[in-house]
Amino acid sequence: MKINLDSAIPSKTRAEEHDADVWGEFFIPPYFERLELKTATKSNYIIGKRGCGKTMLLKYFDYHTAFSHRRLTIPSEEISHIGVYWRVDTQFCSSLQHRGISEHQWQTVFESYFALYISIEIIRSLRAVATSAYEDFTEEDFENLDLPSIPDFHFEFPSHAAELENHLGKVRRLFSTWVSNVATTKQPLLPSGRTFLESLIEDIRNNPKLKRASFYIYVDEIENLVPYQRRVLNTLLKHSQKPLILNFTSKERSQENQTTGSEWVNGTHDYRLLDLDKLLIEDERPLFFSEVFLANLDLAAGQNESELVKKLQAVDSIAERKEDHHRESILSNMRNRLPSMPYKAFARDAMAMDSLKRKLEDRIDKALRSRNSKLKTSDFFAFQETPEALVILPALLNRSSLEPEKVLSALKLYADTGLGHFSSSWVQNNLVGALLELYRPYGRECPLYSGFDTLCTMSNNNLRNFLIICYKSLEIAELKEEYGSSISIETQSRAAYETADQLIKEIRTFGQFGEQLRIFVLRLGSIFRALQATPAMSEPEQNQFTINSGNRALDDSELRFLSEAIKYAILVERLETKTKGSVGSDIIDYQLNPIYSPYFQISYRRKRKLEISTLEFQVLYSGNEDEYRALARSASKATPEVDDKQLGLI
Amino acid sequence: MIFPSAQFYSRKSLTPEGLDLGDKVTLIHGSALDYRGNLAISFGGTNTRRLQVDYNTDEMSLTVDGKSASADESKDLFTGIFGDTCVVIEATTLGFAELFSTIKALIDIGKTRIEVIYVEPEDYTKPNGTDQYALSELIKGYLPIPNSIVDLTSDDLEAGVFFLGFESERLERALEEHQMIATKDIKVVFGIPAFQPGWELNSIVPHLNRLGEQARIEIAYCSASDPEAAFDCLEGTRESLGIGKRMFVAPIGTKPCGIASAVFASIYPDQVGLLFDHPKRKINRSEGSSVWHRYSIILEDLT
Amino acid sequence: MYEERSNFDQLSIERTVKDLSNLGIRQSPLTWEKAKRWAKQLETGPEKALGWLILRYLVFRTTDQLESSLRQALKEAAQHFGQSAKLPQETNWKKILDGSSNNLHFYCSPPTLNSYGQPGKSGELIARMVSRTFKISKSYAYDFTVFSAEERLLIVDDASFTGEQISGFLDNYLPAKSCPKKIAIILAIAHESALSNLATRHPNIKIFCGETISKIHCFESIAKTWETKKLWPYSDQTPIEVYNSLCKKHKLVSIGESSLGFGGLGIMVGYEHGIPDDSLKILWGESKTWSPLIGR
Repeated sequence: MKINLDSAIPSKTRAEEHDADVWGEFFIPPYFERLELKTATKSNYIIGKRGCGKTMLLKYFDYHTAFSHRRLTIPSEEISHIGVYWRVDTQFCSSLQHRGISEHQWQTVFESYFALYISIEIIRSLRAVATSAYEDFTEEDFENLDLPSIPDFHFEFPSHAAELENHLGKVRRLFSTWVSNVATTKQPLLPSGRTFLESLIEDIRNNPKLKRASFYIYVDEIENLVPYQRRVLNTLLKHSQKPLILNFTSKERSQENQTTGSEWVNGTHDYRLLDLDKLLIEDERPLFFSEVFLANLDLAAGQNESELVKKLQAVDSIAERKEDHHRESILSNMRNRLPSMPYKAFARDAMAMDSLKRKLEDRIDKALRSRNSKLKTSDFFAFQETPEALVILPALLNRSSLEPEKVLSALKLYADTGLGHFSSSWVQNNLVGALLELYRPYGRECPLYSGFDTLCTMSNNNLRNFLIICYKSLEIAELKEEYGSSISIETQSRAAYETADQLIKEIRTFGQFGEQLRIFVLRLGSIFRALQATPAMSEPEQNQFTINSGNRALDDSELRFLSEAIKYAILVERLETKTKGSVGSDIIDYQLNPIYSPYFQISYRRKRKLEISTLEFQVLYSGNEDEYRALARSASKATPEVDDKQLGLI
Repeated sequence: MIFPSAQFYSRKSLTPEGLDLGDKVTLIHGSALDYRGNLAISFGGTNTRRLQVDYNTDEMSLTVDGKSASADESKDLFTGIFGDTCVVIEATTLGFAELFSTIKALIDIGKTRIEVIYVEPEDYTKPNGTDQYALSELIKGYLPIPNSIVDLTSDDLEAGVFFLGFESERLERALEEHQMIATKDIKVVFGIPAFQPGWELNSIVPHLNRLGEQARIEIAYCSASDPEAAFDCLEGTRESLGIGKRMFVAPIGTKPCGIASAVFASIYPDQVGLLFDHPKRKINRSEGSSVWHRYSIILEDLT
Repeated sequence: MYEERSNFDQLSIERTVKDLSNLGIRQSPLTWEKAKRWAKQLETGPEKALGWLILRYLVFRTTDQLESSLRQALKEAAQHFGQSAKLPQETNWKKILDGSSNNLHFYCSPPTLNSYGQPGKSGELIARMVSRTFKISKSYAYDFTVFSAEERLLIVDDASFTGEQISGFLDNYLPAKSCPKKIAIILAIAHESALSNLATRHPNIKIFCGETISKIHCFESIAKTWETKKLWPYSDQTPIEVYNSLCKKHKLVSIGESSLGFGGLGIMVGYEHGIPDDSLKILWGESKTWSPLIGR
C-alpha cells in the first residue's frame, strides 16, 4: 500500500504539532487505568523521558480535549476532572528574577502570575464545557455565571465570568509589558495567588450546575523553572487537595523539594509519583509501540474510523487489547512488515558475497601468519557448511589463549556433530561482534540492524525512537520505490542508521551541556567501535562502561554531567549491584543508548562492559583531542601501526 | 500617535578610515577574542574613546565601562557619557544582547541616528559537517533580554520570525524547548543572496529535515548581508499583525540580520519581543584584512 | 585493510532534492515528481549518480528568491544614480526610485527591441515583477528612444551569463550610445563572463546584479569538486566524461553547439519561470529519447 506520508505522519510524531485538542489523535497507553489521574485526590508527579508520550497524555487530560467539539457524547462525571495543561515558557519565567527586585518579591509576583494564568484558563475551561456536548452546563449557564467574591480582591475585577476573563486578559498584557522593563513601567495589580484561585473555584462550585467541578492543573517541565519558582509551586502542591489539585511533570525526579516556608515536599505524603517509563512494562512495549505505529498509518491514509484507531481511543478497549488474539495479530503484522534473519543466516549470506568472503579469508590468513601457524586458510574453509563458525575465526585465531590447531579441530567437530566449543559458547559470544565487523564496509546499511524485535530493543523503551525508525523505513522504502508490504532489510538498516544520525545531531539541543554530551557520545561510541575492531575481540559486544577505579571519586561537575546524560537518555543506567565500589560510589553500568549503535556499527545488545577509571572518564567528558585519542588507543590496545582511521576514531 | 520608522544607509570600505566617521568617536565594543575583533576595536585614532559593554545572561545585567546595572536600567548607564562625540557601535565584537541593549538605550536617550560598524570575516567558513566536533559556539540557551521580553504562551503572540544560519540545532532547540511556538505563525528567513552564490544551500539543507516535520512554517528570503533588507522582512510580518497582537524575532542567522533585529525590537517594543540563545564565541582563526561596513540607521518620527 | 569509502550517498541526495521541492524552496516546474521522472531516464551507475548530483547542486531560483536578489541590485543602482545626480549621500534608495525626494524618474524594461516581444520571455516577466514590487513604471526600450534629463531606464532581466543577448540588444539600442549614463542593467544573477563582455562592449553602461557567479559555480568546476570531495564514486570515469557520453547517446547536441549550454559555460541555473539556454543541455534539451527537466 503506497501511502503519501509526506507531511501527514512525520509532523505528528511531535506532540506540539497537535493543537490543544487531541481528541481522536491520542492513543490510550496500556497503563492508562493505573494512572488514576481523573479520580486523584492528591497531587501527582509525572516523570518521563523525552519521547515517552508524556505531553500527548497531558494534552489528553486538558479541557480542550476532554470537552472537544469532536466528542459527540460526554459523560456527566467529566466535570469532576477539568484539566488545565500549562507548559511553562522557560525563557519568560527566567526573566522573573534579579533585575533589582528581591527574590522575596519575585515569589509573590510568580505566584500571582501563576494564579493569573490559571484563573483565565479555568474560566475558559468552563466556556469549553458549556459549548461542548456536555449536557448539564449550557452556554446560557455560562453567560449567567456569577462569581461574587472576586470583586473583593479588587474593585476593578468584575464578577461576571466572561467579563472577568476579559479583564484578566488585560491584566496579563499589562503584566507582560511590565516584565519587559520592570524599572520604567508600573507593575499592575495582580490576583493574589492561591487564595484568589480558591475563591474563584468556590464561587464556581456554588453554582448548582458546577457543584462537582474540580480542577486539575498539570504543570509541564517544571525542571526548567528557576529554584524559587519551584519552591513556590512546591508550596502550592503541598497543600493541594480537591477541588484544586496541582500536578507536576518533568523528565526525571527533581532534587528541588523545598517550599517557600520551612517545610519540604515529601514523596509519600504530598504526591504520588508516576514514572511513565516504568509504568510501561517491558512486555507491553512492543505491542503498544506497534499499535501506535499502525494506527498512525491508518490516520495518514485517511482511515480515521478504522477498527484499530477506534480501539486505541477507547478506554473500554484496554482489556480487549490485552487479549492474545489482538496481540498476536498486531505483532505478526509488524514482524511481516519488518522482517529480518537469524544471525546464522547473515553469516551465510556474507559468505555468499565475494568481497566479504575475501575479506574474511584475508583476516584468517593474517591471523595464522601472526601466530606462526603451519595451517592454511583453506584448511578452515573446507567447512563451508558452518558459515557462522567461519565468520568468528579471525577473532578466535588471534587469541593467544587458543591454539589454531585446537580451533580447527573444534571446527571439524562442530561441522560433523554440531557439538563442542563452537556450539557451547564461541558462536553465541562472538558471532554478533564478528558480523558487525565484517559488515563494516556496509556503513549505513549494516543488515544486522533490522527486524521488528531488534528495532524494539534498539528503541530502548522509547516510543518516539521506535516511531522515528519506522517512519524513516517507510520514507526510504518510498524513495527506493519499494512498494511491497514488507520493508527490506537494507531499507530498515538504512533507517536505523539515519535515526541514529539524526538523534546524535539532536543531542546538541539538550540543555546547557548539549554539545559536550554529543562529543561524549561520539567519543564513547568510537572507543566501543575500536574495541570491536581489535583483532582478538576478546570482549565482544562492549557497549557499556563502569567507573570502578581511580584515585578519586567523581567530582561535582562530572556527577552533574553524568546525571544530564541519564536525564536525556544518552546513557542507560543499569544498576548491577548496589555495593560500594573502591572509589566510594555505587557500581553502576552505563550503556550507551542502543539507538545510537548503528552509527558506530556496534552491538545494540546488552552484553559486556568496559571498566574505566575516574581519570579516564574525565578524559572522555572534558579531555582534549590528544588526550582522548591516547585513551582510545590504549583502551583498544592498538599497536602503533594501526592508525586512528582504521580504528574508526572520529 | 507616533509611528517610528528607521532608514538604513550602508557604506563599505577596505579601510576603517574610508567609513568617514572621523576621529572624535566614542566606540562601543565587546571583547576581542581574535584578530578580527582586535582589528575592529582598533577603529579610530587618538581621539577615540572606547567603552566596553558586557551583558550577563544570568543576572540580565549590563556593564558599561565598568559600571553595572540591571539591563532594565541600561538607559541610565548611557546617559550623559558621550559629550559631542559621534557614537559608533562596533558590532563585530558585541554579542547580540549587548548590541540590542545598547541600541535600545541610545534610542531611549534620544539619539535619532545610530552608527554601526562591522568587519566582515575574510573567509566565511562553515562548519564541516556533523561528524566533526562543533566549530560553533557553546550555547547558553534561550534566555530573555530585558526591554524585549516575550511570553510565548500569551494569546497576543501571533507570529514569529527566525533568521537562520548554518547551525540547524539553534532552531531545533527553540522549537523543542518552547513547544508553544508551533501554534504561532512562523516565518523562517534564509539569506538569498548569500555571501557567496550556492552558500544559501549550506544554510537551507541542514534545516530541511526539521522544517519538513513542522506543518505550518512559511519560508522567506532576504539578503544575508544587508540589515535594511532584513528590516523590511520584519516590517512585512509586523504589518500583518492583528490589532493588539505581538510578534517575536529570533536573530540566529547573520550579524547584519541581528543588527536589523536589534533596531526593530528597539523601536517597536509594544509589538516585538526577542528570542535569543546567547552563543559564546569561541576563538576562531579568521585572518587577513577585510571589508569594513558602516550601517547608518536614521530614525524618523512619522506623525 | 581500511577501505576509503566514497562519500556518495544517492539516497541522501534524493532526499535533499525531494525536501527542497516539497518544502517550496524549489517550486514547479522543479517538483519532486518531475525530478524523479527526469532521473528515470538515466541508467543505473555513473549516469544516475551524475543526474542526482546535478539535481542537488543546481541553483534554482523561485520568483521570491529572484526578487530578493533584484532588490539588492536595484538598491545599488538607485544609489548610483542618486550619487550621479548629486543627491545627498544618504538619500533613501526607495525614495530615489519613486522620485519622491528628487526629480529622477525611473522606468524598467526587458532587453527586447522588437515590438512583438514574446510574452513569457524572461525579461518581460522580470520587468513586470520589478514594476509591481518596486513600483517602477514599466516601459519598453523600443518606446524609449528619447530621454529627458530626469529620466532613467533600467534594463531588467533574470540573469546574464555570456552577456551576448544584452550586448546584442544594446548594440542596436541607440540611446546606449547617446546617453549611456542614463541607462543601467539590472540582473538577479550575472556570470563574470557577461560582466567582462559588457564592460568591454558597453563600458559606459553600469550593471548591477544581486549575485555574481564565476567559473567555480559552473559544471566543470563543480564536477571536479565532486571528485576531490569524494562525492563521485567512480574512479574510472569523470563526471564530465559521463556527461558528454550521455549527451551523445541521446543526440542532444547539434553541430556547432556546446553540450555545456550556450556559451559553453556549463551553467547550472533554473527558475520557476523557465531555464536559460546557457544551462547544461541535459536540463533543457529534447530529443527522441530524452525529455527535459525544465522545458524551454
